[in-house]
Amino acid sequence: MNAERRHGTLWRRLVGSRNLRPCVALALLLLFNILFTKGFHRLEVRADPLASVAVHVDAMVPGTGEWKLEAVSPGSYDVMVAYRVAEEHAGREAAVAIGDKEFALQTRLARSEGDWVEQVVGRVRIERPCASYRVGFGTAGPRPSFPVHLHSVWLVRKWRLYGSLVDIVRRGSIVMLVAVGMTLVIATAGIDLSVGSVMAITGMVAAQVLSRGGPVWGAVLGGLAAALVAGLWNGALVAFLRLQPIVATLILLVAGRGIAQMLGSDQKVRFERPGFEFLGSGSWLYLPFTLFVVAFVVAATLLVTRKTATGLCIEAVGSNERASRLSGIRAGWVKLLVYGFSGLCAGVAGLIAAADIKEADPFRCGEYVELQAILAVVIGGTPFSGGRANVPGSILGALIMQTVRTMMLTLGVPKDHTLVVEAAVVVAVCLAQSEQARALVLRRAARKGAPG
Amino acid sequence: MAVAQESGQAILEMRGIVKRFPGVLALDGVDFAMRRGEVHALMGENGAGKSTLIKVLTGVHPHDAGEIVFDGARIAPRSPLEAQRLGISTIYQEVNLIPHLSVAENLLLGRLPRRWGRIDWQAVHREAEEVLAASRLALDVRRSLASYPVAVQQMVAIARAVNMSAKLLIMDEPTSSLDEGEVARLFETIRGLKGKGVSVLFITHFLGQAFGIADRMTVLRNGALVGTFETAKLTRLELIGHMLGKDPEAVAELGREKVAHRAGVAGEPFLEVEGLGRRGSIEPFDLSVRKGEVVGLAGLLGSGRTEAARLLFGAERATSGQVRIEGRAVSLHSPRAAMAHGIGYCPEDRKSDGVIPDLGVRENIVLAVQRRLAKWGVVSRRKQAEVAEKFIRLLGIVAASPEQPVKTLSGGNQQKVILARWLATEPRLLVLDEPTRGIDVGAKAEVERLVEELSRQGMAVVFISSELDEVVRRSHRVAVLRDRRKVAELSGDELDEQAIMRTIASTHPHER
Amino acid sequence: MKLPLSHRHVPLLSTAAVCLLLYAVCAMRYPHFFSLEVFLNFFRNNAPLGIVAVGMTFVILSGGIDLSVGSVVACSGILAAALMEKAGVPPPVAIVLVLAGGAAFGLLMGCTIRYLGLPPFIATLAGMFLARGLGFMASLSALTIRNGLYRAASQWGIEIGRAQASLATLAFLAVLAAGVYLATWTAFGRNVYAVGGSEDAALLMGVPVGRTKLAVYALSGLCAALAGIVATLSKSSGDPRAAFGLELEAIATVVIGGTLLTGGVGYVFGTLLGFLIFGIIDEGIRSEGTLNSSWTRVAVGVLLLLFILLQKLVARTGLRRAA
Repeated sequence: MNAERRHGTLWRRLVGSRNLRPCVALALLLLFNILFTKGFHRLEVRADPLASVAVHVDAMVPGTGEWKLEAVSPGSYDVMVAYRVAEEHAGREAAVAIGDKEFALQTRLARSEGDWVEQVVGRVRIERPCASYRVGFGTAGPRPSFPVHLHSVWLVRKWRLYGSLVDIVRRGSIVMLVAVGMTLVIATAGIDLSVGSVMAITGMVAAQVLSRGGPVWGAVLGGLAAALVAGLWNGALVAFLRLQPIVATLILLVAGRGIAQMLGSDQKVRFERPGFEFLGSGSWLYLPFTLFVVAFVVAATLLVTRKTATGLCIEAVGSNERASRLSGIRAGWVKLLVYGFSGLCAGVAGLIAAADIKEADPFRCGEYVELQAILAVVIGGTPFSGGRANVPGSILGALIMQTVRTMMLTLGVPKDHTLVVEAAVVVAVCLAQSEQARALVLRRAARKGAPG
Repeated sequence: MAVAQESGQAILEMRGIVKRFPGVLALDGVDFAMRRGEVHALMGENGAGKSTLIKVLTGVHPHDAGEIVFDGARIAPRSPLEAQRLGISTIYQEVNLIPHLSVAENLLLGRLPRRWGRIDWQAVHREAEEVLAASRLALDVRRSLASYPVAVQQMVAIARAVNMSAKLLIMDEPTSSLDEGEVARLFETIRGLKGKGVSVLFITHFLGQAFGIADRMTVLRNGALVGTFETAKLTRLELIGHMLGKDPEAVAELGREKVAHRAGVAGEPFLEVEGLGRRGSIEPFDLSVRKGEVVGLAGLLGSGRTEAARLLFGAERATSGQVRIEGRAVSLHSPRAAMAHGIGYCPEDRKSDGVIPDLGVRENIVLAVQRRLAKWGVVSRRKQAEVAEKFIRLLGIVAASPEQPVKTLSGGNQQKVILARWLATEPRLLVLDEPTRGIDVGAKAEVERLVEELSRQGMAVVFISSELDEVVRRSHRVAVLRDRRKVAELSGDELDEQAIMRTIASTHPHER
Repeated sequence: MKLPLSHRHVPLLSTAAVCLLLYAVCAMRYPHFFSLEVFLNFFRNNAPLGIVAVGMTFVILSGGIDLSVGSVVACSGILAAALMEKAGVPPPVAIVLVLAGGAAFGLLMGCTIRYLGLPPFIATLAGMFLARGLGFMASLSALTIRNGLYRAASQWGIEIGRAQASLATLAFLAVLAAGVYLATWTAFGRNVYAVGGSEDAALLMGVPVGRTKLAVYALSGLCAALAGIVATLSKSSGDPRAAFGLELEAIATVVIGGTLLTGGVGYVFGTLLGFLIFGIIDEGIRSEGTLNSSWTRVAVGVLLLLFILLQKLVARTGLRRAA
């Protein structure tokens, strides 16, 4: 009790005393991350930042591949390249250029088939924050070219507090957004499995508008409108047709990607529109723009749930629907609202995802995002049985998971292996919250304590 | 009042059973005994302890004190399955079989005959037909159980229990969903079981049925044993008296207690209801309530009081009749509509219909009144706290803080929170359904005084209670319900507990 | 003998009706639909889905759900490939190990559901993550299987006319037959129906509810592992990225096949019909030419919705009749 009072009313009002533990956990994780792992800023080579697949740049033939690097903070970095080369070409030289500096890369063979080679080629100094640098990779030169599979080019630096935090926030923005919507849905004792598909649809709608020359605001509004419709569809199925939430959202999950595919004629749709791209990769005041988007959405949600009658209605419906109806609450409309909102949040996330990679990918966009959002909500302490909406908790949960993911990446664990750790975390958290598990442990302890 | 039994014939003896739940003593040293081959009815109002006694007997809950002797041996079953193996089977109101499996499978599940490792379906159907024949049922054993009406499903459940050598069959409200013909068939089956030496424990709130089938009756009240009686020597009036805790002679001797203001309230009716009813729920009834008047609804469990209350609040849609408020016709099609007209409803089952368990005291109290407190959609925390504080003080709600989750409060305090919720809406008509159930004596008096104060300030009140003395003390008029129908309205001089009991007990020519 | 038609058969009958209708429509439009070749081809390409769906049928019948099957399929495939290629284990041993692993994995999830009270949705969700991650641990990218015996097996098949029933197809048909037998003629099968119909009642009737639940998830894991191996047969390689979204297709197949998601009602034969409907839609859309494959997903989604609504309707009328 005393600790809460010391933290002051503002803190308590904003975060709530029940979020103290997750906050502490997050702080510890971040500290560990900063002290013991390398901060890095990675340039993705046309890879979907959310996917675990790196797109192979096949057979780089004479010439250069060029990409834009946006470094966030100035300083000097190690330049590291991840690549793979065939046995017969191992040992030949390739070239890496950043800005106007060029480095030589002596290729070598990976330790086993299917592995990537990670090699540091030199150091570079980044002068201006949030500036663009051209990055080139080539196999031409004095010798004839040879094919190299390039995974990514990394700028690595140790001990970077600011970079780590920014990196975590930027990568975690999408899950944070989806988790906000998911929190309200779970608070009504429901669930929304379709958020990934809604993201795909939103991205596709926006991409289509942009690629046909439409205005940026048109793409944003169009995408969000599509997301809202999808969310309301789910809400109608749950509230008025009385379908189970798992079942109702399963339908959109299956069909939604098909719809996204159809909108894009079964292809990924690329676009180039700096105004829109700012959503995903832009920065304000040295902070990623997505952070402001997330903050806005969270603030708006908190305003509505804490300050208006709606928040209480949502929690009441989740806690005891019958009693809520008997108190004059229109449970059907409440459910419609939360599913629509969840769709909207997924829509914002979809816009950001598309803006980040400059294309709408109906196949892989939002993959696993529903699971990650549910995980964030569970860690954040909103129970599945409904009745309590802890939005700040879900944000903390998403940040904790993202920190863990980032930590593992920088410790060298391949992105695809992190799934195992995430699964372990889900189980651990659920067990901690499950009464049956606790009973089991207590019974064991009691038996051990009692004399034979 | 207790009847001595020949121990040689006893199949079941429960002695001094005590069962406590957090905050409530559900069974207070209850003795209960049954003979071989008898049909025994267990009677009591809500909260009397009937279901708790059964749960203790069938192993759902362990008992805190006392012992159970069944068929000569001490038992302490730890699960219904164990009780079943000992010979105690239960038939529940919601038939506890697997609806989508066939009749044959339901009869034999767990012991399906096999041949060379696979299920021998021909043998299954043959055996099932034999079992049914033993119970004199003729059904197509291949059809799914759900394709038969509930009455038949119950018979199948009974046949299964008998086939599993049940010595004691417990039937928990078996006739709730049966029509008259089906009830008669059920009774025939029960008599057949008697003939085979199976004892039947029959729980019901239908007095007529209890008189029709039971050899003896045991009445529980507030967790304690009132007594066990031979049916042949008991009258209806006596039974009702036992169930409601009123000694009929003592009541007759008591002076007619009247409250000064019972002279009636003048003025135009606030709420008038004509022929309001709902098919399958309650027969059309008339009712009118004036401003400042307290109208009581009295009757036994199952008489339709709660159904009437729910209709008044729009919690259920009426299939007939009309409602007028201050002379104008209105439609109470939903709780919101009723609330818009100034009607509030404090439900009977606070656990499932009233309390929002995860929310705090403040949030539960302001739940119904939020919109009114809001300015431009924004509800000020301060105003909420004010309202909550006011009612916490007024009703004496005991809670560590207004944010304490309501599920951690005691039953009595939960009831007060729900009362507060409706009082906060400043209703013009308040329907109170068993507002004093589960509250301690001191709080009961407070609630009663509150009702009086409210009616004096001009609020119309509909007051439902199983405690006859409360209803009589507080109401200006009392409508008496029986078997889902309003049968009388008492007021003025003729309003007293004796009269109400007589009205409830008054029999039809063909009843006992 | 009069056929005992109760309302619980309605979903199955409607599935059969839809199946026949779709087939008739497609057969009239595209003459090649009548050939056995098309059938067998579809069976071969989608055998993993079919095998997984049979296992999923049991899980859904018991009232649960298994979201991990897609990941287990991929994990089994790459694990088998890694065992054979990287560790040099002979194919039969690798297959047995992988199958045992799949069953053990399912059993593990079943244990968390039964003993720790985790809702099946969460437990199998975690399983999905876990299995996928384990697959990636075996290898980050696809592995080709160069084992001669294996390659020979993948080409083998029984000739029927011009078509060939490959090993994958036969495996699927065998699993289907086993599923039908399990469901209809074993106590385990009837127990599954009982648990799904009403867990409380089943407990009171002496059905071993806990054991049944464990067995159901182990069975599903086993089927997924088998499907993974069958998948490697047709592609001669294991891929940790395979079978994304397979669990949803399996659930859709089972539901369209007339099994209620709430449990207790359904037939393994129905799953076969659902599988056929999938195939007909897929093949029909492919033959149409103008429509792209995304239409399949939308069509499946629409069908799923219709069938779920139908199930709701049936459930409500069933209740009303009994009342």
